[in-house]
Amino acid sequence: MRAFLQTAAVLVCSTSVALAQQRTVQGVVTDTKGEAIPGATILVKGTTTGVTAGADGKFQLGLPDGASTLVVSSVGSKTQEVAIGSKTDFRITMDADAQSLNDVVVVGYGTARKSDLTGSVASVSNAQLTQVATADPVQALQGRVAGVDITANSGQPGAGTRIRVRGVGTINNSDPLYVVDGVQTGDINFLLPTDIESTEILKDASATAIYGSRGANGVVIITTKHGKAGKTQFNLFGYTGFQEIRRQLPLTNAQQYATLVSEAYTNDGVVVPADLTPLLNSALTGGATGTDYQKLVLQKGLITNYSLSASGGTEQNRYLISGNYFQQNGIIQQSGYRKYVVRLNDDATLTKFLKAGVSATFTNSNQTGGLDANGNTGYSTVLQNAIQANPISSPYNADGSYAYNNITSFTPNLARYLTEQQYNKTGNTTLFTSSYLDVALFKNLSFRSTFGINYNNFHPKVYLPQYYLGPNDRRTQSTLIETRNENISWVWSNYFNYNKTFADNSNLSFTLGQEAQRGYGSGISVTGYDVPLDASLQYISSARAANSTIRSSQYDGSLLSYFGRANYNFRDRYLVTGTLRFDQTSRFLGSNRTGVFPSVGAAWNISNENFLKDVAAVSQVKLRASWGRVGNQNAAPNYGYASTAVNNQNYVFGADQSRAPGLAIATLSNPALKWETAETGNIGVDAAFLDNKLTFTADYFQRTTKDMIALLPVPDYLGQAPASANVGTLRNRGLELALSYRNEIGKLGYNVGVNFTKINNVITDLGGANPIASGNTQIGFTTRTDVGREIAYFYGLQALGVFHTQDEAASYVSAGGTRIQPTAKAGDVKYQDTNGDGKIDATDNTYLGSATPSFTYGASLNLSYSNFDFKILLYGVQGVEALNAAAINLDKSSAIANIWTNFYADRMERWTPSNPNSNQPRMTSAATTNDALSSRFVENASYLRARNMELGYSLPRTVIDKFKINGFRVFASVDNVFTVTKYRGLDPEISSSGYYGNPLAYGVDYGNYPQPRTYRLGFNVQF
Amino acid sequence: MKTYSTARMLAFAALLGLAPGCKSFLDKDPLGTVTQVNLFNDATNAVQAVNAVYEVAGWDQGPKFGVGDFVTVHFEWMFGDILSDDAEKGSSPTDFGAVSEIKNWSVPTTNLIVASLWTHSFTGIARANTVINNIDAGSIDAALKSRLKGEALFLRAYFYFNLVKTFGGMPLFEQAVLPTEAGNVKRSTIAETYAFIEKDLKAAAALLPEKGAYASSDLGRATKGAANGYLARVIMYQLGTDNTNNHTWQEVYDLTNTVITSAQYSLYPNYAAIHQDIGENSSESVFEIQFAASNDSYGPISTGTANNVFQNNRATFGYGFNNPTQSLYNEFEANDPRREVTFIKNGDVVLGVANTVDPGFNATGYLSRKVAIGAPPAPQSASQNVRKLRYADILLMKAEAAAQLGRNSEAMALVNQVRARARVSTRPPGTTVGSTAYAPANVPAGTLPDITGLSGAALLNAIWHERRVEFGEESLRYWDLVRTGRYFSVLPADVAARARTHSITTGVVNPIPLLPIELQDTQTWGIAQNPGY
Repeated sequence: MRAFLQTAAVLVCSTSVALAQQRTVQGVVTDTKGEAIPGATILVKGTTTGVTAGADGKFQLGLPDGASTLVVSSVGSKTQEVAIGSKTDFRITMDADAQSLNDVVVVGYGTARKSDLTGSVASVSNAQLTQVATADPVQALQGRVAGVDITANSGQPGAGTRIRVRGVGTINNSDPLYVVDGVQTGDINFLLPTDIESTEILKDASATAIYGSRGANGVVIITTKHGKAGKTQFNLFGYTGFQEIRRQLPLTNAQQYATLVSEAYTNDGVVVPADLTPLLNSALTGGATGTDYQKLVLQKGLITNYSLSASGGTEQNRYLISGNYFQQNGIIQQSGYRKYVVRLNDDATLTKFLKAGVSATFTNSNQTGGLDANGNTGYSTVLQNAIQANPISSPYNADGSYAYNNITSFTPNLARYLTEQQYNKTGNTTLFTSSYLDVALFKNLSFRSTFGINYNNFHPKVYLPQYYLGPNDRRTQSTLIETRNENISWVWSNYFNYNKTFADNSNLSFTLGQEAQRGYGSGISVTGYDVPLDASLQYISSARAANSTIRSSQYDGSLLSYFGRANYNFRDRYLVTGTLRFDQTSRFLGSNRTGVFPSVGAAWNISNENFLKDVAAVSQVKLRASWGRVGNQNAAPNYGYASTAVNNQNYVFGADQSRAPGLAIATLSNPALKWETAETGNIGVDAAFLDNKLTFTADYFQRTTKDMIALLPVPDYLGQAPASANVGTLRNRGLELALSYRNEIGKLGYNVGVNFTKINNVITDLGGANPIASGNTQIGFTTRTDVGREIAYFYGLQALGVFHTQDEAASYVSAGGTRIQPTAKAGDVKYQDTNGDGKIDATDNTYLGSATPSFTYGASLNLSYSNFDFKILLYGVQGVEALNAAAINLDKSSAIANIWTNFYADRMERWTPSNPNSNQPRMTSAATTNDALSSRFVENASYLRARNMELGYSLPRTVIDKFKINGFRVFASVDNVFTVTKYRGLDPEISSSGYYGNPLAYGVDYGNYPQPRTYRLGFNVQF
Repeated sequence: MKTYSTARMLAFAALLGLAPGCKSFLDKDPLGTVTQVNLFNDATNAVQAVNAVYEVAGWDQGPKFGVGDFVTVHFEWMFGDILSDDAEKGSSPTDFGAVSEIKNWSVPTTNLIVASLWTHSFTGIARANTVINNIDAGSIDAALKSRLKGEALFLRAYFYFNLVKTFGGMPLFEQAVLPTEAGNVKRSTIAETYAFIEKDLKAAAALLPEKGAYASSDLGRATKGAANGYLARVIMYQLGTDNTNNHTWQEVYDLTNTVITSAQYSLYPNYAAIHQDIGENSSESVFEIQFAASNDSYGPISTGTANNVFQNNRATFGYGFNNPTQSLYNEFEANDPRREVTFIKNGDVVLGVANTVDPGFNATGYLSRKVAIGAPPAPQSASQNVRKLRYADILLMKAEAAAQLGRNSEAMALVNQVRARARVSTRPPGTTVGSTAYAPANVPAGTLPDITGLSGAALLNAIWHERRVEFGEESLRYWDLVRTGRYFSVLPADVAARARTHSITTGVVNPIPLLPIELQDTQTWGIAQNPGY
């Protein structure tokens, strides 16, 4: 795309002088290995005459009078000048240049040379995006860019990814804006990583303020692959492999489990309940290992991806067609994902001053096993249930039928529950199109109109068969929930770009435009009952019950905007950028409707000053500073200002007891709702040394989110769900560093990159509101969001180990001499009396850590030797805690809610009279405070993960020439090779998907579907 | 240059093209929903807004506020029966420990049953407040307006009464609470809470029609009789617990008398049919919560209940909770037909089906027959209405007031009305296999003789005995024991000791045991907790 834009610039300007040609030269552009570089730009120095090399690297160029030198440039290569002389056939070899500051990057409503930017912008190339096996283009960015934190929602195939640019910006929606080929969208899941040419991440306000109300959480600009002029080039890419779980939790077997449960009763002199006795006894006497429920539900899952594209065309008309297939079976049985993507695009030069293009992406995906019983997505409970199920139960009776489990009867029989997951499917179809028209108005002024329209159809379907195993594990009536959601959004942008370069290398450019956006949609969900199990009858039309339930949802929102940007570059040294955007939204009323979002940025290219110009070791040094204000309209719900009535509040009246529908104002209203805004200041430096071999970028920023909109939790006695309100202020301060170095030692080429991000997140104001409690678990809320701390920190009692002896318990006294834990016995958990009031209660709750990391880092190493290449990508998160909510059950001292679920195997090391030095509480059947929410369940969740290791081999030129192909590479790759962590849960990479994306349940782990380890073999062939 | 001009014109036209449509482009009304602003400008919507308040009274489980997180089940029997000597928890010993916690008075503040009662009651209050505070400004018919407001006032009192007797003095909300006020809300005293309830019930009684004035399709709505009946109950409960408001038995006497003389009610002839389908909204019904079978098994959309499913036999379709005790069994006089209507024993034929009582899922050997109805389509979708206030209660409340006022013969006559009806009761339906008929009880002569010649404590004891057997397993026993000062004496010593640590004992007529307020609202929102929690 960058090359395309360079070419475009060349072509626009070249038309007026095209008639002055005298003679024609030709040639081929290759890299140092002799492989063709397609798309390189060849320009006659001092003129605007030039061409683009074809896919085979070949070019032909008519030379104007006086032509003496060719300037050859290409993305990733150092620009070089070649004397023409009398030669007519050129073989031009380009040196690689991975981090050139002269690269053209895509910014909002235009492009810019990287050296001209005053804002903080990071780029990720296609090769980096396709290194890890995923269908998710966002996940592919993990570990690549400083300041961009990416966490998979879960290992559930197709579950999506959580991306945070420069920390969590709000207690509400912190998702960035995506811009795909100039069209704004909230989601890029319709793409596959292989479809993407390049990704730019705009981080500070100088870069994002042009997107105004949608820019507060950063902007991710995606440029998809487009056709290049030349002979038709085919590219076939594929891999296949399998995935497995990183680790199973070490849990008790049947005998260990029975030992612990029996001991709980005997410790208190209580008779074991009659229904438990025979089961426990048989496990104890038999020494049984029982059922390994994790093994029961896990599998090795196949993963496959194939992609074929054809691209080519003439300078007047370039095209690309591609088809893509991705399939993943998941590491839990009955979970899987398939994705089909077809892309088509065409760029045409219509007249001397008119250019146009269209592109369309059609995506169909199908996910299995990702819904809960109400049809909500991304919430698979199979593994959660598997780690809680008690091992003394067997999922099968002697005759092979499903068994009923009396002890943990609220955990469904997993063998049966698994088979039901196959009826749990989510289909998703998207058609994303964009088109543009470019008009060259005057020499320096152009006009561009872009129209993008996006259609999405989302259709989850859950079938819940009828069954009966026992009173607490049964479904009296089969149920089918079918949902169809249809969403349409369009964006129409119209803007002028003016660009004038002066003789002294100064440059003035401005952009002025207008934009309208609208998103609307509706959904219908039908629930039918008593639907037969037969697969061909699992449709609403075969429901045999008289009544069905129908729900609908609908929304319509729009945004009208005006924006402008001015850049002035004084002699390539001093750069100033100013942007201003006005947005009007339908989400707010009256005077709150309009938002004004300004930004200014300045930069100094020190390396272009005379005193540095001739220092050979210094290639580039640039200082940047910016300030701006951006909005986050996505924090506000569509009709957040109005109090709407919820229907279907059904009661019954009358002699015939007929249904009496009700309407309730179930949610509070807030007509004064207004924009949430973020003010960002940024200072940064970009530097390159040693002929661009060493590059360095550092940024320091402060982002303050004001009038933060949140669904402020309210007390239950309010009786209504909370309204959206502008309640608080949150500040993120951070430091981002990125360093890369590349060089060659003989045949060995290497490239090392590291990045580091440290963000300090603090709530500075909650508008006087009470602290917000969230992250509800079986023992209450786990997180608290309060002034002076980071968002959603863990809040509970501080455990101080256990009382090793009765004396120790008795001597734990307050200043006044009374026992602080008067009922505690030897083996009970000792808690800190934080407020010193001589007793332990909720007022002793204290800060226990949070899921906000101290810092995150990424590192990559690329090696090439002869035809071999090797890559490794590391990602790490340090200084982070997780609330291991699964461990609340697995580490329990007594039955929680009277249910004896399974235990961690190391509970065998509990306190007993014969093991008094243990720091694990005793077993008990009495009510104690041992399992209160405390630091026992908050764990260090720092980790270092090898995201990928890959070894590749490319066939040498001599061999591929023989087969008349342009390139052939094979590779072997392993994802999530290893993870270094002390965290005892399934995976330290925890998102909040278990809480339906609640940002205040950040780091609460209920037993998330973990990231799998993936082994695969693949190939890439061009012909 | 001509083409350039054209292009320029086109571009500017594109820019300007949207400008005139700006306002309508941005004005979006909420789609597919009614707002608070226009809710009371349409009679159907206004009625539905009131229906949504009743709906909360019918929630034994459901999401918070009707839109949020799941909260667990709560049923009146978990307090009225389980806390008393009339019932054991039932089911298997380990099943639903939260009920055991209540039974044993060792209730943690995380107990989900009390949290559910708390949350749902306040949801009902908020919905009632939506009606009470907005209906006057609506443009609907004045007569309908006053009836609907009366219904909402009655229901607000109903929810507050459930709260005050379980948790003590409450924060009192006349208006919707603003989020900005949350956290600064204080609990009123028990007396203030009762005064608030009485004010609502009196206003409701003035606004509501008598039962007979409703159309048959509105059967089940709150009536003048229900408001007066509840007011009598509220005053009678204060007389035995916290009587700071200085009520007298004369008030109970007068209020029950008003209900009786309204001539809207009579005892249903056959005691055995009161809790059957045929007895729903019968002549005896003063107020009952309405349910109908539903395919939707969960949430506000459902019209059914799990109430009787929880209490039914594990061997049929139930969960086997709330088992009546031997003590209650023994309370019945010889041959009282009401005993068989109240109890299922092992081997009994119920609705034509022989029942086995599995001791693994039963604590006493008995189950309640008053909740035995046919199996519902789904566990949470049974159709049986829950009787909240029966005419027999009006008669026995008046009897107790008369006895307290020394009108002994009048009191005995009222009790004897109830006994006379019991005497002629049939056996419960379906006592032979395959039949659902009401077999005659063949009560020997001399069964349930009229009471005569009693006064003072003996008369009160006779009335209290009559209440226990007449309302067996109808969730009234615990409240009766508390208000008559007999509660702690019927509990095992250790349970009584724990219950006392959670009781208000000063400034009261009899100690008032209180359950804990849910953890969240005390921990995060500063609501004062009850004693001992």
